[in-house]
Amino acid sequence: MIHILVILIILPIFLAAISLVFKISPFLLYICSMFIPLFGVLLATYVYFNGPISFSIGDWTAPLGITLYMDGLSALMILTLSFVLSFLSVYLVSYLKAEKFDIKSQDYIISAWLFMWGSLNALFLSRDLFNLYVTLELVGLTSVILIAIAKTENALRASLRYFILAMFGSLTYLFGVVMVYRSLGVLDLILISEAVDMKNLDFQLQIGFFFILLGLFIKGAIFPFHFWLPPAHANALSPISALLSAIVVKAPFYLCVRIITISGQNILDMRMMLPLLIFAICAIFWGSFLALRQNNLKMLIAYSTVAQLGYLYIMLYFVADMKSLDINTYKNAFAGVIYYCISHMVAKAALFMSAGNMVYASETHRISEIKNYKIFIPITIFAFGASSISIMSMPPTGGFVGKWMMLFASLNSQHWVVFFVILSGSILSLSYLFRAFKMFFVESDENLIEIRPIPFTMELSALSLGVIVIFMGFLSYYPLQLLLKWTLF
Amino acid sequence: MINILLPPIIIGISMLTGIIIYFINEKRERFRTILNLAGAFIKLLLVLFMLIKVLNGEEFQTRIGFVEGIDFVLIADPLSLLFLTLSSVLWLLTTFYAIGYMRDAKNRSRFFSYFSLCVAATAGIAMAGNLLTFYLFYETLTLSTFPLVIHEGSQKAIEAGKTYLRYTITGGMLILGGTLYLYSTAGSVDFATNGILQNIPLSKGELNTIFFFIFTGFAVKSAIVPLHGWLPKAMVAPAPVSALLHAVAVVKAGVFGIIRLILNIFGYELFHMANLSNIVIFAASFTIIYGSLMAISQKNIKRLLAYSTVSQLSYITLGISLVGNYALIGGMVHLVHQGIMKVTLFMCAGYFDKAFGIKNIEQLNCVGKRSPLAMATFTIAAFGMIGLPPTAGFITKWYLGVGGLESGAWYIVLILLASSFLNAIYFLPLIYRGWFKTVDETVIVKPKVLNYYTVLFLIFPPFVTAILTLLFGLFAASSFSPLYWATIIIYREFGL
Repeated sequence: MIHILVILIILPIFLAAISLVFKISPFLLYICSMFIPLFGVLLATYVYFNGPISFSIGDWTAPLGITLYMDGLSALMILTLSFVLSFLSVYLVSYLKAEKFDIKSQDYIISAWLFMWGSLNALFLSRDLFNLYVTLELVGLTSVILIAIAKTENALRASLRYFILAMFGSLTYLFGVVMVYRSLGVLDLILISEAVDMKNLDFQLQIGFFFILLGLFIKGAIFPFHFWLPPAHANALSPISALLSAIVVKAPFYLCVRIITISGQNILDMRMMLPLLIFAICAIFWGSFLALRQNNLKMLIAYSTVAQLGYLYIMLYFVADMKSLDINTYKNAFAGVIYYCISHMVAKAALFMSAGNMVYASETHRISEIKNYKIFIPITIFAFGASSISIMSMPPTGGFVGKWMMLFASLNSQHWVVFFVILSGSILSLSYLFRAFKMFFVESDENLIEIRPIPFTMELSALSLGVIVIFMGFLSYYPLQLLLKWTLF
Repeated sequence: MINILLPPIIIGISMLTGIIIYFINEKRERFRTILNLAGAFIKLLLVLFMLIKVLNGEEFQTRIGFVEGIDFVLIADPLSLLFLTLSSVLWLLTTFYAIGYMRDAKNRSRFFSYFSLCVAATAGIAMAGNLLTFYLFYETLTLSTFPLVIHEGSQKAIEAGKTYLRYTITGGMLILGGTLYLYSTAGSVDFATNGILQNIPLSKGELNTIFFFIFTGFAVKSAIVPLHGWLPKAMVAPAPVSALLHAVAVVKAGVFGIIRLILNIFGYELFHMANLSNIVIFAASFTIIYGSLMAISQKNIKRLLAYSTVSQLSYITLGISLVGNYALIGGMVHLVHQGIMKVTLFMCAGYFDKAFGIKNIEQLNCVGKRSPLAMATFTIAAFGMIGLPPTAGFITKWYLGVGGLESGAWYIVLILLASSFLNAIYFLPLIYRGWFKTVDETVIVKPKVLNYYTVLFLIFPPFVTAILTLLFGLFAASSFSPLYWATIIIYREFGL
């Protein structure tokens, strides 16, 4: 069972290599899509009943060896990631075929995609700071490749901008890691948590953590480092936009959570964290405001990601104040933000997929032209609607469950700013999402537009994730238990 | 076993119908119609089955873990069944009506799909056992009624939809905030028979905050002035939508929420002891008069009916917030009475629009000669609104009036009389025009030749509800009337 942890990483990377050589890349991708979610479920169930599992490669344990580790949080992330990527992969294959990419390009894209999948799995399973750096770099570089593959001028420009910023972020992160290592002498997260508990946080250590978080914030597109995200996500190919917005941008956030919850005391003085709160609130309002002004559908959704990330980082600030929270509030806050994060993963993927469908169908990005279709596309519209509801964090979707818990935590500890910002989130998201989905209902007397028929697979994958996000609104009990029971507090 | 499964099944039937219909091709009309009616009919049977069981004292409860500390709970107490039966009966009738009305419309699969989802959400609201479950279905109702409001797709419809969402989602935010605050101060959000807050000592400030947030949130959908702005605008929706939603589902959900808040969260005694009733009575009375006054100046029939709804709904709120059995019973029974009377009025208005192109009052001249049956049902319902015996409307007004006197609030009688008077001012001219005035040549009326079956589908439902209006009035004392059921609710649940 434990060896499956390694397979999660090795399989996609191995298949990535093979797909460059042989011309069977869609088939290889389907293999991954079928098996990896299965492995994810198996592992999650195992962790649920037996607790965290770890696997030391070559039996070299920490502090020198590479250890793969899965606790409740990792299990939940990998589970969600597997399912989302599985549906996205099916979408990718269908999209590439529909847009008539030649076999060679298909192989390159799928190879990079598989490599990304393996790197993401590795990221969520790693347990020491340097390993995390390596996987973060892998994810970043693969993202650059995937954005640039779109080959348009905008895409190339966006990928270069992302590349430079990602490098900058990684170096900052690395600097922070060096400072932490200098202070504590260990890189393994669990060992670090023990060391921090025992030792007082001296200035060197705090600087280390500060730079680690700063690097992660740059990669995680929080205001004011968000400006690379909208062009990058909007100009990439649709399946890749979905991958980036749904999953890749959550990886730095996940790391922030790991770092901040590393010990029972605050790792940083709360006054140093205050800019985080301000920036997160700015992200929400700025992202929503700019989303309203977009004419390009994919830009609108990308700015929505910027805004939604703001919610995640607001709760990060909240959770960082660990000393002053009682255990119940902390659990609610933690579970809430993670559940919101995974609901957003599913919803954003569904949203980009349905938007991608519409962009494919009408061959235009402009919102004002996506209406009056001759062929009725109920499946895509439903997928778009369901994912919008989750992004607005309204019932009966997963987004609401996350929001409820976050609101409860902030209410209990009387953080009124956090409370009211999150509460009013629905209205903000509603305003920009309304611009997009009102188009589906417009019936004007103009001529009906001929559209390219959307391949059924593309519609179905969008729908599946849309349905899943609704189920997440009801079946939240077991994931939450998995999370709370088996994550170190 | 049945007692655990039946509530979700009742919700599930409408939801399943909705989901299946969504994917049915536009052309397969017969299949869709059969599915629609079958779903509505089966649901009604299940609800009646549940009704009989509850009458005999059985309990239903479904409980699933949801978030930390609060479960997802469905119950079937007498109050749930009042609302549930009303919505199921009216759903069947309105589906019938909608099939006829929407015969030439576009996107019917989408329409009927959301129609069914709405009713599923309404059933969930009726059977919710705590405030969180209630909120879940409440917002689902908002989201499933939205596509119906903007169904036409015109610029006006989309504007109306935008306003509708703005109002209702803001209201939802207030309810959510209030619920969270309730949970964090009281530790529970369940609906208990005597009100959970009775036994939990909270400070005056906390009680006021909880009440203010949740009441204002519900007040949006209950169309209490000044939060009623969305309702007249939403009249741009097709007639079946106006009929079902604005007589039954959406507005009743709001008022139902207020009833649950006052009776099952706060509890009757606490509500009055904390002096919270004053603001409710004031708001309700103001709305009653304001709605009627605005209705008088309307030229468009549906807008007139919308303002009439605004006014009439507050009878319910008013009744609930007074002291004394009679007022409570009167308010509660008006939930049913107003529903059937308003549905009749809207359905007739829709028929007049479909058959004659009548949208404004001035086009009503001489309709009685051309469709006497439709005009007769309209007349009966209008008399009910005014409160003339032997309609159901009279029963409500009587109980509210007696209740007002009983609680020492003599001004209630004045408000009721004033309201009846105002109702007469705007309804009687319509009736007079329809029966007695001759056709005005300067006013354009476009009669259309309708299929016989269409006419049947359009006239039969309001005919049924008009008969019910009379029956519920004449035989109010029998054990089959809503009045009897309302009395049972009050007596059984509150031991009054």
